[in-house]
Amino acid sequence: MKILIMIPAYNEELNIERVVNNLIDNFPQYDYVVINDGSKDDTAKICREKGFHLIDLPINLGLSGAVQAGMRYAWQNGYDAAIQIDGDGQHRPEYIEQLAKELEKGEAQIVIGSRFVTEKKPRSLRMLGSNVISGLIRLSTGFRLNDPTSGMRLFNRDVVKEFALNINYGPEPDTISYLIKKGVKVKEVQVKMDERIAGESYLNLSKSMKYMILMSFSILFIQGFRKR
Amino acid sequence: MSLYLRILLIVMSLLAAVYAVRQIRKSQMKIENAIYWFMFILIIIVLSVFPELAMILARILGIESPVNLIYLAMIFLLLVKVFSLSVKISQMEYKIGILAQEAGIMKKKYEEKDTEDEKRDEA
Repeated sequence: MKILIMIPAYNEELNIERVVNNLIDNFPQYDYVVINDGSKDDTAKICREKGFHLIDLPINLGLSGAVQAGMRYAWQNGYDAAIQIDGDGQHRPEYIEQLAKELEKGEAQIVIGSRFVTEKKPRSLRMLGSNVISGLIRLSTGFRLNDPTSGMRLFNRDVVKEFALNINYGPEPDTISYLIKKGVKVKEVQVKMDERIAGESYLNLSKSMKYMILMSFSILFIQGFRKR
Repeated sequence: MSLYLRILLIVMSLLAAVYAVRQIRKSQMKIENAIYWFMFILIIIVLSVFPELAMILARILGIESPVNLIYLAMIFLLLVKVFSLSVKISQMEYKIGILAQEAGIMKKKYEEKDTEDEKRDEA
């Protein structure tokens, strides 16, 4: 199975080299592409100097636009599956093999690297948010998704095509909820994730609140009306 | 608030909601942009279904008639939206400019490469 690793990167000059070098040295069986989402720092420059595979977006599109660029690339270049790995290195590539095995069984079209299949969710504000989204997805689809906000999702070619060519396919839990509702099969595999080592997380408190409101409203009231 | 006005507001709100949903179904609208309108519609519906709420709020704000509160709320929400759209348009103009410039620069690079190739072919 030909897998593309998509690495959306916004201002990740402190992390990108470590993340990509790890892929090149230890996981040469996968192709990767860095999608620089109009970073203001030296992310693109570092990638060019090191000769990394790079899609350099001239403007900032936001995460969903950057991931869509990766999906488009995967779709146009005939990849069988695509997975998102965050540019801060919190997703460990050693789990891709397990995810891919699960996908190859053909029972699921999306396999999610989840922190909470066998492990328990810790109690924190962030995990409260995760629980709320899990609950809403359960309410709306009947499916139990333990780690809805995990960005480490492996998609098969059909789903990659959908993401690549359509509006309202952000790499977020509301899209997953919608796809589950439309009959796409989702599986979760237990993974470990690392804490971000350097640089700043995109989510602060006010953005998190906005995110929660958007996700809740979208999952509860809007996704049910969409047609595929 | 008269019963007719309340019914009118509710009916118009529901029609607006149906229209917004249709835009999403037809893939014409981004969900994050639609959510504002759903919230807007929800507020109007709540105020028309429970006019007591409008009355209490009007009294607190010292507005004589609850219907004025509804007007005020609508004008306020619309102004906020217009302003944020104006900001968004500015950003988009800027981004489109960057895209055009990048496309132009890229085109130039390709054309330079083409003429180089032609020269090499001739030589």
